Amino acid sequence: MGNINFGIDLGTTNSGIGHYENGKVMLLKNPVGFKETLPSVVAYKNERIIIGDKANEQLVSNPASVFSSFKRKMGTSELYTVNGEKETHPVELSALVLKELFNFSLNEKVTSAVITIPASFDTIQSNATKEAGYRSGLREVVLLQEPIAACLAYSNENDLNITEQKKWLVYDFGGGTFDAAIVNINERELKVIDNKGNNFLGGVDLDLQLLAKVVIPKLTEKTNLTDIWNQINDPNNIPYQKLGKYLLYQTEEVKKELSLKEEAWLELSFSEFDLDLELKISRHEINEIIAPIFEDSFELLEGLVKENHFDFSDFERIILVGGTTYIPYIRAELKKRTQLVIDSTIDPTTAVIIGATYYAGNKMSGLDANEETEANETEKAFDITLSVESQTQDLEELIAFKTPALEEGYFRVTRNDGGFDSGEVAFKNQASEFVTLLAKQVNYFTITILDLKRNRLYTKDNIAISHGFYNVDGQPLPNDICIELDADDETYLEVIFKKNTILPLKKSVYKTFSRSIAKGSDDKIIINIVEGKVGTMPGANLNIGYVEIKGEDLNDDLIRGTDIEMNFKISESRDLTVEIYVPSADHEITKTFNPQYQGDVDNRKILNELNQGLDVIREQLALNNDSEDYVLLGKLSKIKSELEDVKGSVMLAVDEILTVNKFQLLERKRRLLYEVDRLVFLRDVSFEMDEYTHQKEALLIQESEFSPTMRNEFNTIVKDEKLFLQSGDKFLIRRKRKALEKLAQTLYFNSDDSYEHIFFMLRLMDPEEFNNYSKVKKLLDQGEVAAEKNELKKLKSICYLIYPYIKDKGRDREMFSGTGLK
Amino acid sequence: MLTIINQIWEISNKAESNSYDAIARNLRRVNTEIEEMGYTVIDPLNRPYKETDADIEANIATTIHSKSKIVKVLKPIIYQNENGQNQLAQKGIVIVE
Repeated sequence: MGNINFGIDLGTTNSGIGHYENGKVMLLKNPVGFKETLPSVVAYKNERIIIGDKANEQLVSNPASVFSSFKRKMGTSELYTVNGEKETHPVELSALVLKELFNFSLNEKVTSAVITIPASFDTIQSNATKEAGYRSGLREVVLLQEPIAACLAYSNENDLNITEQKKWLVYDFGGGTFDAAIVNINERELKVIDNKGNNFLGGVDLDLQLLAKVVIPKLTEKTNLTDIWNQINDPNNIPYQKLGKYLLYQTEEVKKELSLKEEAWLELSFSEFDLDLELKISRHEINEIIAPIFEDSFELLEGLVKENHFDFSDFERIILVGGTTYIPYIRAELKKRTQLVIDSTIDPTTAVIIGATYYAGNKMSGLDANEETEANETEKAFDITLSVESQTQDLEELIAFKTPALEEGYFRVTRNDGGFDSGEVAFKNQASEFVTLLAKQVNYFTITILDLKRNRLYTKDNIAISHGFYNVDGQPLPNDICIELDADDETYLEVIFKKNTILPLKKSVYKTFSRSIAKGSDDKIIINIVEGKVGTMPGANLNIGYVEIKGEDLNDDLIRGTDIEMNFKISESRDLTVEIYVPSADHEITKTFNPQYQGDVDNRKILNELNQGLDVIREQLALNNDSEDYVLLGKLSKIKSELEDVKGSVMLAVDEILTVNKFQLLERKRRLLYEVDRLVFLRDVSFEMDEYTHQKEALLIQESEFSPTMRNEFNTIVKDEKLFLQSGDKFLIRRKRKALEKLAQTLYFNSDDSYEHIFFMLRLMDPEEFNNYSKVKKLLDQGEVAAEKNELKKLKSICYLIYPYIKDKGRDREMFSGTGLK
Repeated sequence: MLTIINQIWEISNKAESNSYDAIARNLRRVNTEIEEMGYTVIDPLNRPYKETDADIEANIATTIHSKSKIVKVLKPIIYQNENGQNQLAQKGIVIVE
């Protein structure tokens, strides 16, 4: 037997659910839309039942089949007619809202819950709430008064240690209701002494009043529009209806801004009415609207206090609950008139959920363990045949199913990213649903089958439908299309278009220059586009586009670190167009390459690629020298000799124009480098993964020394770690590892303690390795003294002074020419 | 971040309707950066209205019928990709007619 752990605020306008986990309250989010609250609204449309936001948006346009505020009618015999046919009642509607909230809990089935009720609820209303709980499938329902929940939330979240008796006032001003309560609180117990409320007083019409009394008069004054208010409320005047919706939304936005500022600008841009203006709205204007509503609420609060023979001074604080209490005027007036502490330390819109969940987390469940287990194991083997088109070019696709063993029930399909929800739809034996897809993405769906009482019978998640990746009607890319970029002393490929995406394609890529190019010089930047596989050596791929930005063609110098914009397009017939723009030099190049392009790559670049391949082979031969993998060693040696042969031929042809012979050499080079990649691929990736893991572990040991900036950098590097470690791209993993290495270096150089070691290394260097050794010698001598006295800061500054005298610091960088892009 | 994306989306719309070609390139650049950060921004203008599309918050100007569509977008739809999974980060705020 465990604790109940689930707390629910079943509100008049909004509801929410929390879960108590490891001593903490977690507000559960709607898997559709990811909000923490759910509008308590239910819509019926044919066989479909929609609950929450999507039902709420049809409240005005489709009032006959959309129901809200039914909490006010709990415990009454009120019946609602659905589309002129069947009837429903508040308990049933509340049960639907509860069931929808249970869907927020993805990992655990909700069988017991604490549900909050207003302090004003009588026994019949309370029992009706319990009944709704049981109808929703709960096996155990515990009720808790909303003011108590709010107080629990404030005391627990603020870790208050209450040692003596106190009285708190709860001021709960929601969208449609107002409640005030006196709560007695002591070391062991919270109790509502009395309460008062108005079920039809709330902030929901505040936006409309602000629109009618402030925005529309200002708009009338500034434009030639007349009688706006009446026209936007005329259901037959469609253009004004649209304008009305727009104005209301902008009014809501400006109201939120006025919670933070004294004045705000309402920006109106509505082309149908040729509107393009700004209206200044001040907080004072909104205060004039809220003042009468606040007066009504304060009268109730004051009455409650007086009727119970208290003064405001008898209370310790006022707890704020409900979205309307965000308004600064309300907070200020309450403070001014009561002289009490106004407690708004937690979000007033979720305070009741938090309190209910704290209570649930400490309330033992009356269900025995068997009942709980049984409840969690109701999803047994279920006979269903699903039919889904897993790849499509359409933005809508059909999910169909048959359930031979289930005559009637409900189904629901949701997209896992929260962008699609079918609602609960009635079906008999079989059904289908058109689902909408996000373009060029793998879309994942979840289907749930429910019985007629809406108990979950079956769930299947991760039903994948890929859009635009492959289709018999469109031509997919057979390989990755990549651009070659620089990384330290080597180049690597970055994907522009992924294999299997459907043509035509276009993409903008922004990079920076990794070195400067002087105008008029013979230096150049290389834009090399290849087709093949990301993660392999650039030279092992087919060259399909090659552009040079030459110093001799420039009007201005290209400065290292400035931007280059590249737009790539591939047509359905595989023509590649490259548009290049360098903003700093206002330099533009456009080139189109057809599929027959065989590459007019600069010979020096080919030599670089060959050298990169030879370096890899030498490294592998050295690493495997002692191994007995003679087959591998033999293959590598053979390729090495062939590559050297190609290199010789290319060197002879350095200044020659393009010839057929060169194409053959290029093809031979590509084939050989591909073979090198193939031979070393697995061990290279595995090696890089190990190196990355070791580097990360080493860095995490020093985690406590991270500055906030370093922590951000670290988080950025390791973000999506699973994805890049599984990518098979050794260059990518290596870049990540090197980025971690740089962080480790920063840590090392930031620490004064490191300079003992750095100085030691400088001392070991040969005098030949310095310029002006006599000066260096003097500094080394001073360093000796500082080291002896353990003056680490001084030692650090001496090391900095010596550093510029070291010869050839950037030799490796200079030798590596690369593409000039990173 | 969502506020920044919304502002850039508004600036892009204004630039487009006023033919501010001079900043088009800069806006394209900013939008690409936003995409690189894992955000997908979708403008659902003219999309047919479907009550199953949970990625929009519709203000419905008339009664819903089979040809109802999105006629004005006040805020775009934004998805955020983390660890290869998309998640709705902002519902589109739209007017439906």
